[in-house]
Amino acid sequence: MKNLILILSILLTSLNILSADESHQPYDITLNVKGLVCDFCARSVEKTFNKTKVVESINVDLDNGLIKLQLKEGKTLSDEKIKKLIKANGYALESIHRNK
Amino acid sequence: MVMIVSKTLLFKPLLSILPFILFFSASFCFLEARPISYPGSWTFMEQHNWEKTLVHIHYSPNAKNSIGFLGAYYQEEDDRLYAMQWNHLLFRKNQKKSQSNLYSKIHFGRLEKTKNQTNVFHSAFNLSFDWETRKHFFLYAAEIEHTDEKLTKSNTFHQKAKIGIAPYVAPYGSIHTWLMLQFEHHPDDPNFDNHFILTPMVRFFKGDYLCEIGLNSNNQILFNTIIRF
Repeated sequence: MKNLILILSILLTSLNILSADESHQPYDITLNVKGLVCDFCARSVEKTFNKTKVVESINVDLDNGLIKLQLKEGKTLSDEKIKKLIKANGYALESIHRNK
Repeated sequence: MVMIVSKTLLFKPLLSILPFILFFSASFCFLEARPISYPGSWTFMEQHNWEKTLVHIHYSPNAKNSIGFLGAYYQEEDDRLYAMQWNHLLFRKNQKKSQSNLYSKIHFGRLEKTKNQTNVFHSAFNLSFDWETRKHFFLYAAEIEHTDEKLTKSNTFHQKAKIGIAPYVAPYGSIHTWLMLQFEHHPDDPNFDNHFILTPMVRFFKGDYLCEIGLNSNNQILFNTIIRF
């Protein structure tokens, strides 16, 4: 039983390490969002922003309630559009910080 | 007889402390059952427990509503249910480290009763409240079911509560694990063994996939899955 628990712990830890996001790229927009507590929430905002066709990559930080967006070259995303997308997903937008 | 007595002894004290358990769980934090997904998405839900095997496939046109097919097979009675279900988000409170929701669920459909060789109208109304953080989870749900029997109309009530704790907090995209305990109360069930059911379970959650595996106090298996796409 102890061995089983040990093997399961090692397996879960390994999978977490393998699947952890290790990107350190700078992001154009950082959103401070309330209500992001699980992967379903993160997946929903990720899919919604990907549908806009202007987002190159997205990083969701559940620990701090942050959504980081990198836009495609020459593309823009207005504050109004961001507010609308976050609200449509059922979450509350606290602030928008633009890095450029 | 011995089993009935021992269960009574076990569950009577449990019932008396249930409100305190719920209160303290609520004081920590909770998570949910998410019957609605993001706008334009589909969800597949499967539940297998002591009572039934259930499939619910629904579409969410927006973040407050979902509608879809509900099919269930009741093992003991050999009955089959075919219904349409509407899920509605009545209230949501978003906070920095938590989210709480109040949902209503209603379904209407046809129940094929094998023993009587009849089809009857069946409906149910469910209210569920959940609260979750990244470490704690709580759910309370109450449901009234209505079945048009041949000569009489029957209404049954049941309720459940679920508390959970995550032994570790994993980043988005990793495998999340939850240790959970589910309390069920089915006062109208003809079998006394099913009046109070306790189910310890483990939940695995990654991205769009969630599954729960448990074994209840009557040694019956629970297996639930959710897939979003």
